Amino acid sequence: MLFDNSRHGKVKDVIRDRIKVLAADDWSSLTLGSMQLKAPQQNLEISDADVKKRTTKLMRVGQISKAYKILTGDRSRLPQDTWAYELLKSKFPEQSQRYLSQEKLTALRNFRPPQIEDIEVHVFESVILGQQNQIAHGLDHLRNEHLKKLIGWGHACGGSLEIEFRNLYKYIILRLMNGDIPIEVRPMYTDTEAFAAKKSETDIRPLGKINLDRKIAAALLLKINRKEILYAFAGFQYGCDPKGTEKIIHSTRLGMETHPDYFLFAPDATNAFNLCNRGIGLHELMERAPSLYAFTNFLYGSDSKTWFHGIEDGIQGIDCKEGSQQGCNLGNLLCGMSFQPFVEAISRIVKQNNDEAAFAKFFVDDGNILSSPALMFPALQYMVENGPIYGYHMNLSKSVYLIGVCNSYEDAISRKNELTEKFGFNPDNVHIHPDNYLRQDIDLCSLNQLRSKFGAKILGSYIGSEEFIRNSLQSKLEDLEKEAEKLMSCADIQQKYIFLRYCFDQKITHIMRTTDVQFTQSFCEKFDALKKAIFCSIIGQFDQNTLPADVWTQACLSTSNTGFGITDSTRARYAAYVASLFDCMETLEKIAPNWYNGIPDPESDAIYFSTTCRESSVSHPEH
Amino acid sequence: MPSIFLPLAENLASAIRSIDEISSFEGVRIDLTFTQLQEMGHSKEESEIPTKIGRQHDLYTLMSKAVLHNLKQSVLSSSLKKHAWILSLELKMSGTFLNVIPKCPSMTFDNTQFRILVNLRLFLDQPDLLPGIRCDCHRNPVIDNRCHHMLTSCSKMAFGLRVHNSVLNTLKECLQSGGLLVTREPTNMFQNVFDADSQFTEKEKNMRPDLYVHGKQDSHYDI
Repeated sequence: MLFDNSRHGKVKDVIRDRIKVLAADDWSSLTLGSMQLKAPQQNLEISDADVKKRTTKLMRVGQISKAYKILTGDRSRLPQDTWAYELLKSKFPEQSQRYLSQEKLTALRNFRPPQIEDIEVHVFESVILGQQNQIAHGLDHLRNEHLKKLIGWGHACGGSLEIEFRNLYKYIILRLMNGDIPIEVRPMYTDTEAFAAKKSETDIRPLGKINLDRKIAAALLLKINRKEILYAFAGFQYGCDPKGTEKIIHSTRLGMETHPDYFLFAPDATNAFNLCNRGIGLHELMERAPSLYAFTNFLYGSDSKTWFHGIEDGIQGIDCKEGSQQGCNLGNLLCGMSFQPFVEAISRIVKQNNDEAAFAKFFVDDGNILSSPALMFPALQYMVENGPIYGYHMNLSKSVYLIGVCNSYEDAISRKNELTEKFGFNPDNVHIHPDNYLRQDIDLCSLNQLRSKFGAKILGSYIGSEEFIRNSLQSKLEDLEKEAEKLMSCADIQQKYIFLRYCFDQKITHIMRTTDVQFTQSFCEKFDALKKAIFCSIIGQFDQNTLPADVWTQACLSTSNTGFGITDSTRARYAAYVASLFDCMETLEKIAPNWYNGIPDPESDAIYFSTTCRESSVSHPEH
Repeated sequence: MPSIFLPLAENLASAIRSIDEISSFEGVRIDLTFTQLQEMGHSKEESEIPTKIGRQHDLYTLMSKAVLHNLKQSVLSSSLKKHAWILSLELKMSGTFLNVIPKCPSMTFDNTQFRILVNLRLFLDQPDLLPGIRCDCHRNPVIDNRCHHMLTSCSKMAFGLRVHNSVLNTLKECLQSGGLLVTREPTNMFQNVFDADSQFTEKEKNMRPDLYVHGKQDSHYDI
């Protein structure tokens, strides 16, 4: 309140005047707009020196992946100006119409959530001490590292002051978790700081920062109620499942393989996080995870504000009346809960013929619906008509639709036309299965081109025809090459090694886990070549072609076994793929029971994949 | 039951067969079963090392065992010295320097130091060494390409003492960063100490431990 970066008038005079007002306890002229402004960003381009300074600073606190992003990411800043503010403001909607029935509203009003009486000491400590350092602070200017210092390391080592602080802090956090906070101080916990990041040349990505106590209370609630949350979302919403993305990807692939005639719809939602219906979300939470209700209702039960710093008129407030807040640990949960009845309804439609292979699985707002052709259209119709009730507004021009094998080419074309004309799909995003063209008079080159278009990027992995997957992997590799070049330019060799081992090396793990091994051989070999090049720049000799094989073999062993802990991706892809499929086995069994045909009796520990299967893979090496 | 041999199942079968092949080595035959694969992978709570968890890690480690065995065999046939070097690297402590994050000066290497260390570990020539350079210790030997002379036999500039002091300082910094009060080489520690049979000599009374850690149970260490 005392200081001002705007430098209007003499600084000392400004401060003197403000001290006088403060001493007189006169708050009549105080508005947030009159408070200190953030210093305007002078340099929108981040220099090499800045990058070096920032990566070293982040490395010192163990934030390796953040440091890596600084090194390899975009080096321009988005100015937090009026343009950004206006775009940001447009992302926060007015309160949506109440869709809850009177009965549900009454139930919600009368609901008394279960009280959380105490938190186990080790859980309380592990959550606080497990928070990462150097995370941007909220309006309270408190960071995790400050709290860690105050808590002290380990319960047994704490001094009397630390123990007293822990008890008092736990008391505050417990009250927060129970939503038992006086209304006067509510904004301190519910309001956030908003800022904009670049999404495209014409659009921004809204981001937010929240206060520390809110982060801790939410993290504790999520940890304590983990099983309850997973149970509530089971089979439909995978946003809180640690293997959620993989389960959806493998399910989609398996479903398409068992039923090539099925259609896949991957809807793209517009601003889903900010638009999700809070009322529905809270009602679902009340029914499915009541322990989380009190705090979520405290945060989202009534309006709050997000504050934007940067423009000349001072700090500006934006009303948050609907949707989750950016930066909030409970944001995904509320968003998932709001969409839960919607997803369940879609699932009921596509499964109405007791079709086990059909499904509707969401990862927060990323939907994936696989269905027989007859039921996909009713499902789509339902989504268009009822989505907005839940805050799910589909952007059909960006949504992807894969048409499976139809009875005839004409049938496939007519379905595509219906999708583009009736629903407004972008024709470039509606792809017809290549087998529909087989009886058409099309030359091989054109057929290959059509094949290469049949596919979709789903949750970071590629699904579709062989050509589509191979092309997508190739373009991914080109991106990785650019990243490798940036990494090689890192001047600090120790940092470069750490980035190689912990960041760059892990870049394709998700792809290796979720892409069929038959497509990843060449991709992994080329990725290994990139790693070799970076490794050579660390050891200061050889290049990727001259590096002796035994040196690379040694480098790819663990540090406790003579190596450098780098992954040999060509070898690791087998482990990744098998591990991922076994991790998702329970989900996949529901789509196609006993899909791993060739294992007659898993209980007998027989070698999987019988001889007949091996013969089959020899006779059909490439699907 | 789905129709025969889904590509997903074929891919899974082929990946498991590849793991079996890579993991098998001289005298050890790996034939992973469905049950074995299901039982693999520790949760975070079960694992001794929190970051080493999951089925993927277990499978990769299985393959790495065979790869290390094969590497040792191939090295043994070409160079006995390198084989011995690799065996010595199997001591877990030898790779600890690679696991540290440069959070403080004692865990930070400058470029030259780090490059020398990684080349040493790989049993490679040191790229920054000027060829033919001689050490100025008493026999003036030509420094070998891998600079092992500096590690093993050079007494110039009290190299051994400097290594000792570096370890000492690093340990002190680590203990201090853990919140402990540490003193280096404190005096008058043994003035009142008596041996079971005889009193300490005057010389022995003047001994100083390398590190003295203050606390409820004071302790001193020799490096």
